[in-house]
Amino acid sequence: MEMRGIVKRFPGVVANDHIDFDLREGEIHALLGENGAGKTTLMNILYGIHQPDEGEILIDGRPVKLRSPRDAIALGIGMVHQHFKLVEKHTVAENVALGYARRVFKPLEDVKGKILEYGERYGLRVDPDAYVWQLSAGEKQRVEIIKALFAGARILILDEPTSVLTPQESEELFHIVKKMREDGKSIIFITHKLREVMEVGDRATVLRKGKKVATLEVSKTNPRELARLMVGREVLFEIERPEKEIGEVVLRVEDLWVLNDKGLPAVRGVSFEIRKGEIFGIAGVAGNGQRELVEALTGLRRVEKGRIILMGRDVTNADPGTLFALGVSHIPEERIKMGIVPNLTVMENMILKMEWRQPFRKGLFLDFDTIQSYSEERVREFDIYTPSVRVPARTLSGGNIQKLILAREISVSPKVIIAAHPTYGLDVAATEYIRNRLAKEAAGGAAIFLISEELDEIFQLSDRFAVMFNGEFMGVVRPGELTREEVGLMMMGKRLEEVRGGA
Amino acid sequence: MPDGTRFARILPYRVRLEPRVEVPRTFEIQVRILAILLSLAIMTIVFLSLHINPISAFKAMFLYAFGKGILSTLSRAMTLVLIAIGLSMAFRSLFWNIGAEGQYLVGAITAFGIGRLFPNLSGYALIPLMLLGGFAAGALYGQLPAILKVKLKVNEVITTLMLNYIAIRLLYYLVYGPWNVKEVVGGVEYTGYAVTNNIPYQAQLSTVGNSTLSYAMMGLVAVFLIAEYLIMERTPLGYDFKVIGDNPEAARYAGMRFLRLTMILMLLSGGLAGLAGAGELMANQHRLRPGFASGFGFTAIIIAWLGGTNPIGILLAGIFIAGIIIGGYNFQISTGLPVGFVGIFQGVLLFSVLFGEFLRRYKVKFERW
Amino acid sequence: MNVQILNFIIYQAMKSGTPLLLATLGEIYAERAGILNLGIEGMMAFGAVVGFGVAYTTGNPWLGLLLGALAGALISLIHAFFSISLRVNQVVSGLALVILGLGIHSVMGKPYVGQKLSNTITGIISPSLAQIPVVGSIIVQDPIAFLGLALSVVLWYVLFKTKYGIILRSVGENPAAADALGINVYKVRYLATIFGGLMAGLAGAYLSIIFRPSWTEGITAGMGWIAIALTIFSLWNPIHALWASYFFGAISASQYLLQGKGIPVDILGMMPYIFTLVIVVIASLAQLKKRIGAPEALAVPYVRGQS
Repeated sequence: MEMRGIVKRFPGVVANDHIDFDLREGEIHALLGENGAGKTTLMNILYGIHQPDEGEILIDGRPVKLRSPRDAIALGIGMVHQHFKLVEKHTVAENVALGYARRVFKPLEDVKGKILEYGERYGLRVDPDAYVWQLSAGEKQRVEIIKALFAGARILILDEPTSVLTPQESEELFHIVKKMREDGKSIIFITHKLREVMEVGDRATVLRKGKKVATLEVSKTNPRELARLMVGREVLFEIERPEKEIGEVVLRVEDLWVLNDKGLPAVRGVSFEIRKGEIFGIAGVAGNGQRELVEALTGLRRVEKGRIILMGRDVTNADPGTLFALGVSHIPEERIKMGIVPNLTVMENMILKMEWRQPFRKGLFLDFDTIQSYSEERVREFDIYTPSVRVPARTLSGGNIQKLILAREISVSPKVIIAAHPTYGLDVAATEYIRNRLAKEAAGGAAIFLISEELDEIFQLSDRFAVMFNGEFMGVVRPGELTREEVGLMMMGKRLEEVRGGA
Repeated sequence: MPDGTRFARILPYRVRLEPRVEVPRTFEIQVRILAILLSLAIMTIVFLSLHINPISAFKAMFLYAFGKGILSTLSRAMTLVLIAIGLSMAFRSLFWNIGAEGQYLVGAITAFGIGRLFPNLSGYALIPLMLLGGFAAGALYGQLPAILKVKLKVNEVITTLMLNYIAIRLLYYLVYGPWNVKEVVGGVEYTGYAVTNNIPYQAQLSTVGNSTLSYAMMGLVAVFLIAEYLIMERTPLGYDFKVIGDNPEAARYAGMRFLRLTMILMLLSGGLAGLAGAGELMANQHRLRPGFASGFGFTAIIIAWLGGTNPIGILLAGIFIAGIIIGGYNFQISTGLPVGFVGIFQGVLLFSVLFGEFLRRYKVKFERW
Repeated sequence: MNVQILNFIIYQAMKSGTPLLLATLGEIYAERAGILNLGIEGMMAFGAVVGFGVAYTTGNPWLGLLLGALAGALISLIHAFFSISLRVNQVVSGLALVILGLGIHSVMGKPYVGQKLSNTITGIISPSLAQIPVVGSIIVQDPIAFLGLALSVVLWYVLFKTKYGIILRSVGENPAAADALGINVYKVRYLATIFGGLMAGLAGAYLSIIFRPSWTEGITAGMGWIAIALTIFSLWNPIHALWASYFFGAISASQYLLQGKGIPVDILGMMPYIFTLVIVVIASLAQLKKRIGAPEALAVPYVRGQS
């Protein structure tokens, strides 16, 4: 398969800039790049979701036109997306039957047999009659791979497949992928994790800011070189950790129980404290209760049992407005869905949660002069790239939106900052900025609660961190106390004592 | 970023939709004018296909509406615009208040009831009392759907709609029942007809000349147009409303109190509709009859949608549509054709406005396959 | 209780409930595909006037029913185009359809004011059909009511037990998932909306041809809106729609029974609407409790490339 000279433009940005990319039969080819480099767009073009503005695609030497996923599937291309495209309310079999049932009546019989067969052959075990909402992330991913196999895919595109897996599940995935390669399938592995490229790739192509930078044999390169190609400069894996003092307890959580959307306990008896100036991290694969924990701490979800105590005051089940007034800031995981009001201006977004406060309000009315100057100061301070504070917030890029949210939440000198995946999906520059800023705020006396899927981030920033699995803390440690593998074991359900005991 | 690709095979070209990023102010106005012209064009086609001369049809409608009948048009516009102001606010907060009709009726009924209770009160007291009563009634009538939506996630389209029908039945009951007309005219008792007594004389609002256009209504419209603008654009309350309408998740995240805000919203929205009902009773109709409402609530929806978020826009849209309605009556009288054409016109107009919105949101591109 | 009264109530329930049922079944399919069509009232009104007109002029009530249904399908295309291709706000588009449909209903109906149908469907003379146990008498007396009953079962089966049902439901829950598998989301939604229009048109034609075979303007009287409430109440399941519609028909019918008993007519007239309010609240409670809900993508226009 070959992609020649692919160009794709979106309003305001060139996502793919004359990219050449080829794939050999029976190889695992890693597509590497930072967030926003254009990897997913390129693959969406290959899968027929987008149309290239220029360029062509050839399969087995013949040019093809991929007008929709249907065409791609017909040509043997299958894609497993980063955000699963599954119908949660339906069963596994129904999801597969959606695309691949032959019969009109009793369509599920068709597919169930083969689902089990693939399970055996490649290790993709999953129960066809289970409802998708009941499955773990790893199992859902297996369903997606099965769907691609059903399509008779010779080319399989995996988009950031390990972002939702534990280290051990990732290993299983690598086995599965290698087995498929033996079977003659060709696999494109989109990732930004250098470790994986070295582990499983035959060749690697690096994209940066929409352009192809290089294609290399993995055996002939190393992570440093790849990182340099990805970013264009030497990557600093260190951040500044200013001197600081850790003070009294600011936030205490006692035996917290929180239910998830299905009514089952997602947080099961969690207890911890955070002190002034401390950064407390939570490591763990997504789906183990982190989201529900954050929501409970920020007033967005009900606490069933247990208490949350903020500087001596019981704020269990307080609403978000009260918490904000008491000094709790929240940098949400879903920054566009939750963190901003897209069609309101930047300056209006900058005072969200504060619109009733003086000095932004004078009497009955809003004081736009004050709001504007306040916002302009924040934009300068946080280096937010925007032509003016009067444009709609949706015109900002992802990194700048996050900076807007950060500016808004941090500038009120909060006592507690709850940061959920603050650097997810951002490029290196923005990531560095945010991490440094959080460290600085902690040095300034804020207590920070940090949830992140990037173990690196947890190790870099936290003073202490907990590993969360199945709603419970497997243990609380300092970075450096344990190896990555040991932490990985905890993420899979082993408690600290077991790990230390050399289990 | 999203690629708004839509695969329609129109000849050898493919149609692609690209979301627009910036929309200049003038474009907003252009798009609305386009919508009006489009609806006129379609109506022309409709008339032609029914062997009706479109020129004389439009003449019968608009020349009258904005000529001899201008005062009637304005009078109708005042009532409709008052309702539309409230609807515009509700829609911007994504509260689909389809119940303006019921709130309007309840306002009129309450005003009438007050007039009945205190027939001898002086005009200075009675008029504000009746108007206030109308506002309060509409405001209260809108609270149930508001509470149900926030607390139980009940779809407000259905709840407000059902309340419409209930209010209509209530009107029927009162008109045919306890409030049925009982007057003595020239020695003869006049009762049993589908109408009530008049409201007390001192409550009847003074109007321009012999028309139904009352000074009070014009004043109220002016006041509330300005008030709506100020509230939505210049106060924290309006800010909260806009946030809920643009991103309810963000509103939840920010800790906005949905129950309180929605109740206030419906207080204003329902209240304005109720006020309009009271005003219409006192300025124009002077009595209650079964046909009191005749679709005002729905017409106001079109006005709110056509007028957009701009108070001047709402006013102009209201005058235009009132023109269609009044013109429609004249049309019926002079051509003998059914007044249902007004309904068709309004439906076509609303679709045209939607089409205009589509043009505002997307750029249409034709490309070769 | 007197058997005759019971029979009467059942008969009335079916008669009143059938148009509701037909419209609701259509809307269930449309909403299952993700399209919110509030325009039922307008589609029914259009179907009513076209159906009556055709039945009156041709003297053939069956033709009237057919063309009335097709009329509903035709007018639903407008909403489909605006909602699916132009991606406008589906609430407003539906409302516009109601206003338009009612307007056309009024204008086209003028020549028929006061007219009655000479030929209507009061029953089919077919002794063999009448022999079928239980449903036999229903088929013979009111074939369209039987159609409603049969359709409920058939539509339920298609929705939950066939490949097409899976496709339809998936399009309404997660159109991106269906699209990624090569399914034409737009086509499925168009078809579902048109089907909804077909059923609404048939319901309207039923009202003007069979239910009351003389022209009454405004015969739909809010039934379209009640159908929307029933769609929610039946949790988007055709079998629930069946008993809910008939139950509602019974409530409607009992209005007339209670009339003589001293409650003012108009207060009684509020019953169906109050009842609708109640069921919508109950449905919302059930949804909250059981976590069954509307199709996830309901009323959200689908754009490929946006997740």
